[in-house]
Amino acid sequence: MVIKEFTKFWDWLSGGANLFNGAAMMFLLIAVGCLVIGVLLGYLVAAFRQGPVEAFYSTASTLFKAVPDFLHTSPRRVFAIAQLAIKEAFRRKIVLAAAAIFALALLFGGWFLDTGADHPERTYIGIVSWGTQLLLLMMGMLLSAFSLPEDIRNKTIHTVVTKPVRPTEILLGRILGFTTLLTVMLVLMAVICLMFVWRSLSHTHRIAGDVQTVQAFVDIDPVQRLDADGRRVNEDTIKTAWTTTDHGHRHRLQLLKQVIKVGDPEPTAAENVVDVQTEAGEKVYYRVIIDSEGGHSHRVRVRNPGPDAEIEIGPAIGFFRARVPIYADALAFTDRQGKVGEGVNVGDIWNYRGFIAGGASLAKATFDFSGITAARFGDAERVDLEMTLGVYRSWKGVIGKRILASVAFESIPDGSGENILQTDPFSFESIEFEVLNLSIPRTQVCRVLDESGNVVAQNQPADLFNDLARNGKLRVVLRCEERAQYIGVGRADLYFRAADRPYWANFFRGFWGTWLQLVIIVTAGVCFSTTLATPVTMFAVIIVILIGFNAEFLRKLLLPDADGGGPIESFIRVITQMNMQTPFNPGPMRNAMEFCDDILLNTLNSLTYLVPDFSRLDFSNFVRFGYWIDGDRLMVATCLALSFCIGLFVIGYFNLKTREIAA
Amino acid sequence: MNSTSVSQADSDSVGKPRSARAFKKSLETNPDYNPDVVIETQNLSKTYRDFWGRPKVRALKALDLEVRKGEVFGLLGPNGSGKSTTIKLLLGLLFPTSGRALVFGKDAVEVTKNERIGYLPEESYLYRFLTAEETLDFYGRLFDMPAKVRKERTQQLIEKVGLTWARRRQLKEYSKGMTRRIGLAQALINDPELILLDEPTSGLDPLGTREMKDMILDLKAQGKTVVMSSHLLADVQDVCDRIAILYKGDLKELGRVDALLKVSGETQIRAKNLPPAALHEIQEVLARHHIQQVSIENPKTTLEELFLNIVRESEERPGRRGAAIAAESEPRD
Repeated sequence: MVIKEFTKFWDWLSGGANLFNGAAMMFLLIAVGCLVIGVLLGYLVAAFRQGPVEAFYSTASTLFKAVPDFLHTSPRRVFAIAQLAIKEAFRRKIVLAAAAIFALALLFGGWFLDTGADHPERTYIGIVSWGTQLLLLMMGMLLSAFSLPEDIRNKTIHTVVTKPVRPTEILLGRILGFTTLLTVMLVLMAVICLMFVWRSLSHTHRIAGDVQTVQAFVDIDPVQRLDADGRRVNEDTIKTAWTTTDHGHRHRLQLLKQVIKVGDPEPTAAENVVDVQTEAGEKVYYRVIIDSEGGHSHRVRVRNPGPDAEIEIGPAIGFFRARVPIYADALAFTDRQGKVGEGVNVGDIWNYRGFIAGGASLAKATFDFSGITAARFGDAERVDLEMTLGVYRSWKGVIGKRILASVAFESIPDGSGENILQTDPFSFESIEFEVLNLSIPRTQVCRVLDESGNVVAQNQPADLFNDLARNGKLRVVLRCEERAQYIGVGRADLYFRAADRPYWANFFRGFWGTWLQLVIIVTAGVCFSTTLATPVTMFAVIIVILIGFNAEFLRKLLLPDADGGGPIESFIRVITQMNMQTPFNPGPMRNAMEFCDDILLNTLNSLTYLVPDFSRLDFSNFVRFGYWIDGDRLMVATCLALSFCIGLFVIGYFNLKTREIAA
Repeated sequence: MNSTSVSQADSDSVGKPRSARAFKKSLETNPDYNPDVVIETQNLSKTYRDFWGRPKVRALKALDLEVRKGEVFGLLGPNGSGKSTTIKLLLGLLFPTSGRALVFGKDAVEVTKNERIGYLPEESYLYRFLTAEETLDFYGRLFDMPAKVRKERTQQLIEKVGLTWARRRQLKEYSKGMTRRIGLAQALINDPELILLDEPTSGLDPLGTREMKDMILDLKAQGKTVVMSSHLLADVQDVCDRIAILYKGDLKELGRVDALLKVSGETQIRAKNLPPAALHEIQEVLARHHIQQVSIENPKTTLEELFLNIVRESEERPGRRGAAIAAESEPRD
């Protein structure tokens, strides 16, 4: 999963050191700018109809009268209109229709989803999130686009605006009503979706064969260390078995024989121990493990340990996780010569991942973390370091062998004069496109370096939290250990994993983004409908949705240096069948074409910023890939949505205020 | 004011910008506000325009009106005369092209004036998916009324308009007459001082019409001010104290109903149990002035006749004010 933003809410809002870089100041400046443009536009329209002097007074009057409207908005009236909007949606059976579509989709949706696929939870969660989002956004658009124009068309609005009701109350009431209705629906749908996904993926297996004991296991080839199907086995494996095929897949079971030598600590009692025997004076533990398949595993429990122990395979585990990643504050690359840069560019994925050259001691990626404390990891004895690495092979290497990489840990001193603790590199095989988990022991053996980099002590035991990260800061150094191969990494690709959070909470956090999108759509629909007819309002809201979901793509498309040029240049290239890279002959025609394209591209690009970027409000990927959605991200998204809603609301207010309802 | 001068005033006010003082006044209650004058219009004009801002229809031309506290005022005119436009301008549903409309001394677009107003539209534009109780409760909430007051008021009004038996039925199941009744109830939910009724008897059967007129008279008895528009002359004649007759946006006649219907220059003698023999003697008696007089008074024309005369005259001689027409509209032999 690609994450490009690591925003801290307060820094984002305040701008950190520079107030003018903060979102709050930006919002104020944009608000003032929009107000000035709005007043000018209003004045121009009024001047066209009433003359310049009269227009000045009517514009000023409208502005001044807006203040009491905003200040004296009555909650009782707002709630009355909100309640009316909800009743309308219910009694016109709009809710019933949406519920029926949702129920049908869930009833038959399962037919088209494959539980045996790799990571089926991702498909399931993706589908239910997308379906719920689509259904509710459409419903929000229809409700909001129809409501006010229908009231105006039926003239029912006449009996409302002739009461002491202000335009702010009409707008807020409708927005609140539809939002409340859609929120209740969203929560209900989210609960049903969660149950649907959980029930669909919930399964268990039995050991294939007649018995559910170790008698069902078969010996492996002890020389090749391959099972009967020719698959590699673990170091301690002596026998393997298969589970039954359920939900389109099966798992392999391995019986491990682990010898505990005298003096070694005994393993803690585990529920998967089949038998414990003493052989040649050493304790031997026989235990059963189950291989992960399709992104999940199962709990294995043994009843009545002994030769005839019954092995029971429990429910699936690993589908529903909410990992809490602690990302690095900074990522820096060093090349072969030790110069700091952006990493090696191996293709068009430069922006996200940088690559580290293998076999060069100076080439590395350093991740600087802060806030690494024992409390954050539940004072655990081992710490999970997870990574998703990219691999670029400049030669094919050894077939079937993965590229070797290593990580090492370093302390980050607060000031000069402090020594640096450094661990030995911890080597591992990289896995592409999969999350690789390294369980790092808390106690490490370090060397001590002075500030000049000279080793002053060796083999010093150090605690990861109390010594290496005594100030909460820790550096992780990643290297590629194979010559002429490359390991690629982005800032979000390597993180420490704190204790997991409840999955259901993350599931609902994922829907928070959908809720924010709904609020924007409802606000846009209600506010557009103050001046537009229903079909035009729906068209405008659909445009908002389309631009909102494709804002990033559109902005990329509207870059002046994009291949093929702007609209005019592209059009000329299409009709003349000219290659995208072939340059035009210099001359006034080319200059004119480029000048017009620049204006068009800049204008269109600016317009995309008038619509919220819905991808920033979409957290479904976090839920799909099992990552906890942090509060900062939610707060930023909420503020973004709120700022757009405020802007739309003000536009809607002035539209309604200056509109002749009975005209 | 004849219609020539009306047009002049209209064009003056369109061309002349408002002063800063007028602008300031528009933001506050009129300091010259006379509490006895509930509605005041000054040169009130409305021109409907097309998309490009070009004038399409002049619906109201420089209307000057005053409606006093406690009276029942009728706006009379054929379809398209500007009655509904006037009411909509008074309610702030339309904005004047020029001139001013003041209600309780406040600009008609001012929201707060609505706290003292009740409005029954031409059709009862109500939410058809609500029940009668829900409808009144909803409108009560729009007046920021507390729940207890709303509940009491809802019960009272439902009983008053005789819909107790249908209080929990959705309005989509209501007949036209029932809808008018609940429409009137919603207009009275806030116990308003001024009630604007747009065609209040439209679509009602004779019984319903009688009840509606009784209710208007009842409101008058309570000291409320009622402004109603209608083209049903008998209704206006029965309940209105004063009327304004509009024709194609022009004010043609304005005054008390009894004064407008009075025919000067003729005398009517009414006698009780006049025997046939006496009839013959009347002329002699009248000549000699010796018979006992039961009543001698000016005869009255009907409002219908007055109205039709004004319309006829306006079509023959556009631009003439109604006073002249009224003088000519006396019954002819």
